[in-house]
Amino acid sequence: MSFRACLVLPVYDPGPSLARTVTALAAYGLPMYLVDDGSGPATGAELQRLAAWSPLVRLLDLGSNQGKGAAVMRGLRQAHQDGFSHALQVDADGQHDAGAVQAFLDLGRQHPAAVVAGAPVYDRSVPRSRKYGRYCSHLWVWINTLSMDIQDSLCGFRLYPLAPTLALMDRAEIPRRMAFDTEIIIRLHWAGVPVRSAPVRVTYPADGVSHFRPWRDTLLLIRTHTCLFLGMLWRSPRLLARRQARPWYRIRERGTLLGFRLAAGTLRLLGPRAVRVLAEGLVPYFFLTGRRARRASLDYLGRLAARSGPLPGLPGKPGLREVYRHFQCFCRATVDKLVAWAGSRSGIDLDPADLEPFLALRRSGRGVLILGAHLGNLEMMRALGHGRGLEGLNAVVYGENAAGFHEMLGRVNPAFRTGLVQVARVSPDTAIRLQQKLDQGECLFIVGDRTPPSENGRIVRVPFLGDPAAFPSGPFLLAHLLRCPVHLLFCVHDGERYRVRLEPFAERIALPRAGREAALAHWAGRYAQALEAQCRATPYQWFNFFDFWNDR
Amino acid sequence: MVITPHEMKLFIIETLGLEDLTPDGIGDDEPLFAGGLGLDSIDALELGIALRRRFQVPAAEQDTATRDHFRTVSTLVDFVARNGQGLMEAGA
Repeated sequence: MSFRACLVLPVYDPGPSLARTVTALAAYGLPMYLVDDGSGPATGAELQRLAAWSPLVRLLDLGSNQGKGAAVMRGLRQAHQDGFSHALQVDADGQHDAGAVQAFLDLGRQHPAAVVAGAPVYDRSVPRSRKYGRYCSHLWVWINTLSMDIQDSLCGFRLYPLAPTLALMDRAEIPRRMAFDTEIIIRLHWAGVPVRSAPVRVTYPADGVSHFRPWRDTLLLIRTHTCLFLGMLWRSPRLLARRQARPWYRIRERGTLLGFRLAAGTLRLLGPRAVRVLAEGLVPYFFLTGRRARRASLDYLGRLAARSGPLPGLPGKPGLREVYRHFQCFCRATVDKLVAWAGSRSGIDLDPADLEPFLALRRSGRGVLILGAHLGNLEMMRALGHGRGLEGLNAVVYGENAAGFHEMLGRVNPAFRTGLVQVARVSPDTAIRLQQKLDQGECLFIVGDRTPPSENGRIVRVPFLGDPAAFPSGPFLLAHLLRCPVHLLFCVHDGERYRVRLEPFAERIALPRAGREAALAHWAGRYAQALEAQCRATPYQWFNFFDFWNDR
Repeated sequence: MVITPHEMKLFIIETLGLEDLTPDGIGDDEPLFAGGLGLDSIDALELGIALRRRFQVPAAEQDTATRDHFRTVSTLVDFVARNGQGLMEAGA
């Protein structure tokens, strides 16, 4: 089905901004449905004038004032009947920046099944009560959709995919008045229509006419959200189940961009302890909504218990309580990374003597590859080292991983970024870059238990906790190319404080021409064994919350 | 940077440690990878690194371009002649 878009403007006595808005929008050459929602004669005359002025303008008349929702829906129906695939709703009061139209159309073309919702960008003309009062509504929208996909539900600048929207309108009772904007997008989300957000500048023109009445409309919204809340409860099993299987590198970022910003902001304003409290409070959210992560955690803990028998802190048959503890440990480790990079040692209990071998290694001037895992807190080591004035601690990561988290850490401390080496895959350039660092005696941190997102066949399967699992061959390949010693490093929390385990892994990893596969399997196998041993020692600190054995 | 096919073959043998081969054993237009000499992707990386170091050739991040350049000794010689600078001229 081809993309054919039009504009829909609900018109209720908007004043002089109507002509301005229509003129600006006409520049796009799209048919424009102006729906008269029972306006007075002055507006009526203006509409006639505009229709005469441009053939793009198509007038619809509700006859009497029935509400914004009624007007928009009338426009959407007509648009659908006239053969359009998408309709962009714009307010006639001049609040929306007409310049955003192109961006929305482009997004609509790229994602034709989605509704593109405007996220307002305010300038100084916005009344403060309007700006902050919206957050209350946003919170309820997130609760009512059990997701943070909808950034702003109140903005009337929105591109609708007509077919699913009309289907929804036929099926459900959509409010005809001001609650329309909020309710229709929530219901579209419930119906599985993807929601994309795009910014739109919003201004409050001095001569604009607003029909917003604070008390009346707030009460209306409260009533709307209450009804929607009940609807959400009724649908919640389906909504939770709908969290589709996503690849692991998206799970790590799931819903957390806002959480990171919140954390960074809290850290700045209120300090490390407040962040810890906040993180602890977020654990239930991740636990309840992270079905795939819960399942993966239970699977991993079960395999570990089955293979090693009950361990300290891990019963023979781990259950949801153990999974919750797993989530808690991950949250704590994440916060510790943030706090460490922020330069604080608050809550990070580490014996300096423990840190010494690692610092000595760095000072020795011998370039080494430090192999770790998503176990414990490898990244924190880098932060602590940096905090003690050590340079030359580089983290080699596959580019797409944890981009949001890295962005936040980079903002907390720019030094994070200087030591970050992002690679798409091992290439001659990568190897040379890293070799230069090694020649200067620097350390390269790399994890051995995450494969690159783009499948380049660079994985090696070896047994881990009893079953074959895919490990990246990159670290071993690098070690072979760089001809450097390799050390294993695990920085783990023992319940009271962090301990650092640094041990030599190989003086030299060679993958000889005759028998490369065998050599790779040998080294990866040794790594997997070391990882397994560490998991047995600290079961709750291996943080791969996806199906490690099958998810490739 | 001009290099003869013979020199390139010596370079390949030395870089990759192909002890049981002599330059005469490698044809100018014999495929280096995928059959022929049977070098693998790790060899390609090692060769790429060595070429980069020795001749300052720009590394093509795109696999397809690299594959074309690395196909045979002749294509490599061409590639280096066109793009390489060699250590002598590295300072220029």
